[in-house]
Amino acid sequence: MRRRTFSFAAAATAAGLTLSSCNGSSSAERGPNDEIIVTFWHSMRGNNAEQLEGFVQEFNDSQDDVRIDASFQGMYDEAQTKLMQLAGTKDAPDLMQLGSGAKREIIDSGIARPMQELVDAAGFDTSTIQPSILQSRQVDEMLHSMPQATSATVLFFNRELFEKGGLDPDDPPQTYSEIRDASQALVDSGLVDHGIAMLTDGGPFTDLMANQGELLYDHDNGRSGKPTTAIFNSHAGVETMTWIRDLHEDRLLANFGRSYDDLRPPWYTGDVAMILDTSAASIIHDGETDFEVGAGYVPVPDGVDPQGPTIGGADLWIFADSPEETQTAAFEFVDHLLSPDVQARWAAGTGYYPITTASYDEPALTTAMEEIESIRVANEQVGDTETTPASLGIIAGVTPSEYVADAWEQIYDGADPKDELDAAAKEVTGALESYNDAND
Amino acid sequence: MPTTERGRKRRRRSWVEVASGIGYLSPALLILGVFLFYPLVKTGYLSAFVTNVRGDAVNLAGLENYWNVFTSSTFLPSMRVTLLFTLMTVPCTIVIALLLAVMTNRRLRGITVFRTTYASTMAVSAAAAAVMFRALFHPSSGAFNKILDLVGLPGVGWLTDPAVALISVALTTIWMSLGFNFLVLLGGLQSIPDELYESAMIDGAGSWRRLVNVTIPLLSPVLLFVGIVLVIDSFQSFGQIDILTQGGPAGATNLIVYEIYQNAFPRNQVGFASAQAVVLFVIVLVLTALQFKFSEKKVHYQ
Repeated sequence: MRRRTFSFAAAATAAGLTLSSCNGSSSAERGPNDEIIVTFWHSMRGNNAEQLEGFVQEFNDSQDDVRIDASFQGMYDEAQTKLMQLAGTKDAPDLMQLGSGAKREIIDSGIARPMQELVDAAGFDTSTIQPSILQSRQVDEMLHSMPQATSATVLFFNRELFEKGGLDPDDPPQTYSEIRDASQALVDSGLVDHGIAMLTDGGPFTDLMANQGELLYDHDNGRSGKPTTAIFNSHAGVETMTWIRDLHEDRLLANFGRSYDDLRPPWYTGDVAMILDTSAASIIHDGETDFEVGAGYVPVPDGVDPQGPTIGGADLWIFADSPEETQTAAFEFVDHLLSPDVQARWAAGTGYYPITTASYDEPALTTAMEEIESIRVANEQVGDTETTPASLGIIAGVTPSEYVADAWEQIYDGADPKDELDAAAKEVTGALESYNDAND
Repeated sequence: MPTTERGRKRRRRSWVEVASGIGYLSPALLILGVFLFYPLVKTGYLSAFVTNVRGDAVNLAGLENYWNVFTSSTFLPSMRVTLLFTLMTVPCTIVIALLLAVMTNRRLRGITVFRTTYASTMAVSAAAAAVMFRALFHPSSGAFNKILDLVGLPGVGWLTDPAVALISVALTTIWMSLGFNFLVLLGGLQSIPDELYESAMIDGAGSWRRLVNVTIPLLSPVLLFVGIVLVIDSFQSFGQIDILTQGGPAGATNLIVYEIYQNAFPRNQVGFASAQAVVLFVIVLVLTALQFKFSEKKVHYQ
């Protein structure tokens, strides 16, 4: 008898476990003081996380109606994977920071509340946003998400090594042959093992292409219609990969793999003189280096007019499944993050460049631009950037990054740049086709 | 009639027994059902569909996903890499773990210190081990290249050279799985009765002879178990790949489970990835069955 009761109890408990995972709430989650709780996921680490969570704290302390509950959820890709698994359940966030490359996928998944609706409802003035950033984030002429952090790739270099190697740190190299000559001079003088390093990843390739006004995908990088074909295997693409391959073959360029965590330490210790890295790491670099950090524009082929790298960074998304009042509360925080003062301090404290034009009048930012060369250079580079589909970046459900990285590694291993880029472009075109078939 | 009465009673009793049996099993059945059978069935279902960015089935694809698996440019190379990886890790792990187990299977003062040390990698998670090895493998600041530099040898691209990366990942994996397999083998060794060694010694068998003719045959059930678990584990390796190489360079460490993950999540092709998962399931099933069939004859159950 007792035995049977036990087994029934076990079965009942087990059945209960499966039933308790239901959801569906139409009213906002509230805290003890009746404040609306907004779950906010982000992908910031280290210094940049401290900065962002500082603004969260400020916002929470400034009023009693809304509490932002912020948490780090992994890097952009991991966080996005998590979101896709949880969307529609009560564990999904109300507000989330996602990499700017995620636009097409999130829009197509239908889980987002179009930001434009909340912008219009709140009477937010989008003309305060820097025009190139606004344009880079708009899809079908509306904002589906709100830009929150924008960054650009910069050439960071070690000023001391430049001086020792007889190079002028106030006139950093920019053209492909200047980069090569500078690397050669530094290596020949025995100061470093390699002149330059960059991630073996789609990112640098994308920036080098954008900087010469070259598209990655057809339909203006997916900005005038869904992209169907990858075209990064153009003459410019092959020329760029060949330049990189030759630098690597001559031991002027180091391959530290695909992760920033492996790219940065050798630069910090002076084994490499130059790295291509995001301006968003400016303050991190400032803290980690004990040499003077110089900064220059993204490299460009000889004789080509530089047009600027892509406008990278992160956007904020609000989700349709969240209760209306939570969405409105989340937007209040978005609004706060976009105020000229917050954007100026965010830019000064990280190296991202400000979303709002008025931030350039804030002393916090102007001081940082005077004091930290990479922040000044990143912002000047933005000012010089042309607003073309190349620099606005792709809008597509398939990112070429991994495919380019695979091709790149094959090229380092001895494969022909043109063959590899052709093969990668074919793969990406195939992936775009299946994406377009499945997500109409 | 008494017989049918008894029969009915027996039938009722057996029904009660079945019910209570299921009752006892229900937690396990439920957990297996929710976390094993349901995902298995769902994977099979999804493999017949084209899925959208949310992973929902949208268009019936029939066998198209399976066709794509075998014609894709990544699946077969990935299978090849996985087999190579299995060949690199499984025999090495067994040999080293067996060596350590034989060495520590004696009564010496302080032997537990060695046993604990050799078993300790068991307590290190895949993620922690991979992070540690990643630091050791770093091209410029890693310990391995620093040592090579000290003796005047050129550095090796442990994780960035396609020819070496798989070996590096295999090394990490062997290190990770040594602890557990050492412990299992040591347990097996300790259950071998001393009399057998004594009589072998009386017969004049040296230590090599005793290892080959006494230890290994009597250890064969444990070796079979360790072998099967290691093969399955090597087919399922993920954590160390994700942290060390993300499948690179140029697909050199793109093991099958990592390939499936890439397709299912970052690339949003759940249908295609499900077809790959089903194919992997069949392959592992066949491999395990073969392992049983061929090694069972050689296994000596006491």
